Amino acid sequence: MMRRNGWLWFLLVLFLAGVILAWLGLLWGALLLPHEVAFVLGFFGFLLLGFSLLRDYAWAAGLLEDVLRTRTSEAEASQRIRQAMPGEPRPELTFILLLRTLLQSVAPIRYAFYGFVVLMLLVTVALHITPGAQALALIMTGLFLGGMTAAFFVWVLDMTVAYLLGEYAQQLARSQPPQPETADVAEATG
Amino acid sequence: MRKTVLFTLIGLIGLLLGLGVGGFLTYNRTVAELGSIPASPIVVGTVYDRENHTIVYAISNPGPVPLQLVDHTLVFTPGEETEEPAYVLTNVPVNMVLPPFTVTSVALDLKADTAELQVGDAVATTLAYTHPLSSDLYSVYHTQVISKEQLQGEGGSQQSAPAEQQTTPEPTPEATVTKEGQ
Repeated sequence: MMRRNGWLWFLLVLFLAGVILAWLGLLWGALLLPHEVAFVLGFFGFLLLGFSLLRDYAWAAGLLEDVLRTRTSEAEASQRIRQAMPGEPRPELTFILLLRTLLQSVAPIRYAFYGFVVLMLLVTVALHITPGAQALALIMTGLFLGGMTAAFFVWVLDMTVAYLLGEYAQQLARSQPPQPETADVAEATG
Repeated sequence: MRKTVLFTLIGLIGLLLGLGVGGFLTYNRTVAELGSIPASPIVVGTVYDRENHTIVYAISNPGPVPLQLVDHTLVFTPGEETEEPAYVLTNVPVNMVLPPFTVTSVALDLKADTAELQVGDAVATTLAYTHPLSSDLYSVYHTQVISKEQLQGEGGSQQSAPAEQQTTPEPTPEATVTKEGQ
């Protein structure tokens, strides 16, 4: 219930409206230049592509921060993750392993997302060094920079979650120093 | 410590991304806006070609919009070394395009069967041109008192400007003085 797609439909409608308007040639001319349209479309396109990443990372970061600040107990947080992942059958998993399972479920999307960013970079560079493709290279640069702006948001949330997982591992190590299992958990989370 | 490093890194990358995006959008919009402003042609050199009895102007178009030369009016004023009387060629059609950011040589015929230009003669030319953004007729007025270096011919091989494109409009002496343009 926490992993709702609330903003997805808004983004999708905005993106499709932009594509249709650009297709009809209504966006450029007076209002926007072609490379600016490309920038906007690249931005919304990559927001759509990375939507589940943005959603899950933002949610996981919020949950982790609540647990770290002890606003939420781990049992309650585990309960919320289970609600978000209805298919998870193993009841013995701790909070942090549940969270990692959740993050693992979007790992392929993360891989594809960053892969697309690299692909866009390569295509843009290729167009820039192709003689006679200046007009296309300009459009492609607009798409790429728009995509990079969206990718920046995804990356920041990604980094934030990684940072908070590290914080959590440190806290866990501090709270239970002598036990050997904690080293495993810290390793698994770090 | 780790927090500081991470968020400084995020801030720096965001700053660089904003710099890139802002520079890209601003630069390309500026190029698009400036690319539609026509410039005024500038006569950067004058040479008298003895063999063809033409006066050759090197005309620079410093702007991004191609300019269309429509016609020219030429006023010849004799100096002390010539016996040729003064004459006027009016509204001789030229029909030539000055491409953007280039210097074009434009050869204008002097009046047929007149004497060669001598040092001290003055040639005043009014070039009328148009550009695509307006239906108005604009003009450039250029006066040149011929000096020794500008007399060319009899193997004078120095050719001044690139982009050779010579128009030889038929000189229509005593053309009708129509009041066109400014």
